[in-house]
Amino acid sequence: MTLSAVIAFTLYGVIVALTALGGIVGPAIILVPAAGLAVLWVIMLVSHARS
Amino acid sequence: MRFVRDNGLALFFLFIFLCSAIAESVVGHSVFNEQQLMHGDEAISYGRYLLSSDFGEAMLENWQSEWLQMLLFALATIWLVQRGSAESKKPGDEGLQSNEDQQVGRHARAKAPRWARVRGWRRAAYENSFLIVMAVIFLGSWLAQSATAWTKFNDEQVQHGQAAVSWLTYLGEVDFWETTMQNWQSEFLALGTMCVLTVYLRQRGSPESKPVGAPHDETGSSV
Repeated sequence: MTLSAVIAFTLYGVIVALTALGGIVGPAIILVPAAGLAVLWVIMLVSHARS
Repeated sequence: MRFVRDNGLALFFLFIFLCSAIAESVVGHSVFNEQQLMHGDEAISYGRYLLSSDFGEAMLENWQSEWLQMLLFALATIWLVQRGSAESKKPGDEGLQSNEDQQVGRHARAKAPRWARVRGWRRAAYENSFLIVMAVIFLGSWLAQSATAWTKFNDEQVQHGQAAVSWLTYLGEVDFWETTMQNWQSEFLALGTMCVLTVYLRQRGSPESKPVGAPHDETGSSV
């Protein structure tokens, strides 16, 4: 994986993680949008791995 | 005059931002003072209101979601496409694309930015510079929103005879997540709507639209 891709995955990963953290320490329903954001993160990873 | 013509978009949006921000602060000041008087407290000056957590939260809760929207759209359009949309790459073009497509390294043109021509961390940083700046502004705005909303939350707690909470405790409160999600959902809906509507609808002359006569299934073409 290139450094460029690592930067994109990491930055977005931080946003997904912070949202998920909100669902863990706060209202659990926030895990739903966190999961939604994580879908794109997984798509990014899978697509990048395939290419 | 040439400067104004060449920078019309940025200048217009800066101007309309300032107009709206001034209007928001004036009506916000009015509403805030009405509530102060209703609660038997003293009205505050306009200058004091501009520095208040009430104004800060009202502004920052919207800011953070706007930066997130742009960040997410830039990221999602790398790996996802919408056939027929003016806002999408063509199906099959998903991914970070080759150096040749992106005109970097030895494929860079003569007038390419210097960091597009080099290798290593500088090019990696420049390749993600939009994302990095958007993420920093988003996270900064979100952090500032949490701080201003926390102060406002504690003011209300004290007014109602309840104990103030720490900032970390506030981050787990429904109050913070309600205002955050309230803004996020509208941004995501607007983005999704724009992706789909640009498949079937046109705006003559706008680069945000396909040419009026472009077929519905033609992707990513703009004026």
